[in-house]
Amino acid sequence: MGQSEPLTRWPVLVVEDEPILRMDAIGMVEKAGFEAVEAMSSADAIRLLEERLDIRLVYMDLDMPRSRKGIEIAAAIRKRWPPIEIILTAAYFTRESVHLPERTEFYPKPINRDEIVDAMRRLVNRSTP
Amino acid sequence: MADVHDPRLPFPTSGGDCAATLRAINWVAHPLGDPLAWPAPLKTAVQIVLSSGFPMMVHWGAELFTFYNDAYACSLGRKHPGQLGQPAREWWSEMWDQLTPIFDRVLAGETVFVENGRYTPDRDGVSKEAFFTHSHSPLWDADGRVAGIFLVVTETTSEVVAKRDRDAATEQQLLLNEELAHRIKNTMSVVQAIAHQTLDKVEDQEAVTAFGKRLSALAAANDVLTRDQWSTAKLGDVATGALATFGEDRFVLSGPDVIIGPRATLSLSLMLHELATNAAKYGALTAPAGRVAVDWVVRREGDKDVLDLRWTERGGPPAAEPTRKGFGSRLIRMGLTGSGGVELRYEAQGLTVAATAPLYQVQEA
Repeated sequence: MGQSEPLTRWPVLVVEDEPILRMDAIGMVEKAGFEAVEAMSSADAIRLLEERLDIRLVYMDLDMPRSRKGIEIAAAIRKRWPPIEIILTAAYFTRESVHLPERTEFYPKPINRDEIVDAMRRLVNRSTP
Repeated sequence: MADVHDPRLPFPTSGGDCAATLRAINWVAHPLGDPLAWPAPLKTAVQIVLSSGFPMMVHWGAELFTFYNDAYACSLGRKHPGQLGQPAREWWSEMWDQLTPIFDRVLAGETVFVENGRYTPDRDGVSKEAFFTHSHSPLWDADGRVAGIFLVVTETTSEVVAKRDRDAATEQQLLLNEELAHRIKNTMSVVQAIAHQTLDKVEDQEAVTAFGKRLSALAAANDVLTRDQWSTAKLGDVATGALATFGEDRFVLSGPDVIIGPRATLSLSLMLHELATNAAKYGALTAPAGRVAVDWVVRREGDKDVLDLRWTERGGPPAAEPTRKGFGSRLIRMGLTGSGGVELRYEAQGLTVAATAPLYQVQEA
């Protein structure tokens, strides 16, 4: 799949409060050829998105209990930064039970890494001029 | 048999303590006057009430004078016996607003039946929530005009409260189960992350990937089971869940609604996952036009029902038996219940797998 890897290491924001899952997600993102930017909470994520205007894609866990409802954050990101692509994951929702904001993709936990990486590449390629 | 209208007999002739209380009332001072001279319908109705073992009540006349029996008396607390023969408005003062609409309908000729109605009667000075199933129906005078109300009532407070407690407990259990299901999935995610990190330097990364995907298949099986409290699942839902990540448009699922148990849900999910993985690597799903049909039937064999499930790959390359038989092959051969009953045919049109198991085995826990 070497030819489909992006030439630029586009930054991907990983929002995950569970340390082991965050570590694993960062590994996945980097292996896929992106630059991983990590956020431990939704507040963290918003701050990073305000600073790093080059972030193209957000990969976010909806299950973060200590912060605002993940799905609301995702909707807020979609509204405030329309070009940013969003991939969501959760153990607390299934595809049928979650109401997704426009242009977001959802993958239930435990994730299928290949599926997520494929989605990341597809979405970044779509949004890259 | 005592004739209630016989003027020589005292009225009421029988009917326990309430009848005795009525007989002791000085009726001369009462608007209804001497019971022996009451209209026949009133006497009959009052006598029926007093003789019944069911809680019953009669209201008669414009003032709705009230009569009830011993079966009713025990639920009235200190209201009994003082209000026997008194107007209903005094009698039910605390619930008058609630009862007036019912009385109005009945006096207009209607029968009002209420199941587990909620009321707050005064019980020994305290207003308490209570539930009653009751029927209010009209009583007619000799000219056919509605002159009173006949009430049969059963207090259902203990049943209603017990059901409410039971429903609350069930609700609580549902929430707990759901929470548990989510935690399990989250734990699976952490297991997967630990596996990835631990096996990061292992050369055979394909095995690490296969592990992750099998874990996802397990999670999908859990999802389907969670819908019905981990007791049963629909075969169609299990198949859909196991195959979802391989592209829904590649599969044609058909079969009757069959409920399967948690064990079969798990083995079927893992089996379908392995078959689909193989189809995507070597079989029908490698070709753009390739499709897989999954169909199942329940048929009678001797004295028991048997489930047949068939996996048919078409539109791909000819199927070839794998040279290496690993864990994936063993998962497939475990079949519907984990104990075999699987036949694989490697044909030129593609792979066909037939899995069979007695239905009771597929359905047991």
